[in-house]
Amino acid sequence: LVAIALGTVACVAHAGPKPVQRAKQLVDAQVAALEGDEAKLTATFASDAILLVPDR
Amino acid sequence: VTLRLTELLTAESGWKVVAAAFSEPHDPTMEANPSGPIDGATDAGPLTALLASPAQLQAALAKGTATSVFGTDRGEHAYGDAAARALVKTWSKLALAVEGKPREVHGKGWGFSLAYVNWLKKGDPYPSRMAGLVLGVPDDHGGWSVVAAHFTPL
Repeated sequence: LVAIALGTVACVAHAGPKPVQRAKQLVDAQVAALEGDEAKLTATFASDAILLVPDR
Repeated sequence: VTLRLTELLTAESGWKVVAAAFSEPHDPTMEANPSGPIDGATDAGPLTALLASPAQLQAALAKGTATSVFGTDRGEHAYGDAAARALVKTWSKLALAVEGKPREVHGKGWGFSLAYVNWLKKGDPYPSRMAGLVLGVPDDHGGWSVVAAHFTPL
């Protein structure tokens, strides 16, 4: 079970949903995808994204 | 498991994440050998320097409730500029240094740097190794305001 209890998402303000809404949508999608849909999780990242992840 | 999460998404990427840090809080450990090179490494820019300078980082933190900082320890999380400054201030005497080349990228109204950061503790033969991600927005004076900083143990 993975719980994202502490988090922050930085958005640069542009037209469209408010940054906080966009951030919530993103984290909701990622948490849902963590339960087994790797493709959906991957789709939230740009192709050249750089990630720091725990070494487990 | 509790994860700490910092992500940067941009309009240029179609609102996808261009840089992210996921971490579980724990003490960074001493390690003789550095990590391998960072994918897409670049020359260091102004944001990279902030990762190894708590004083500069503290000064660059953006005002507002959205600013956040994560350290490596369980209690090191701060939301809002006042709490973030207070947390970063506690690191002012740490001997930190960037290891190798970072990946520092600037876009339209945003920038980030991701780099390895060594913490040399007194008496230790090798540094304790971390990685850091700092997210910034351009300020009105040609510099950067930091909206998030996240340090993860390696």
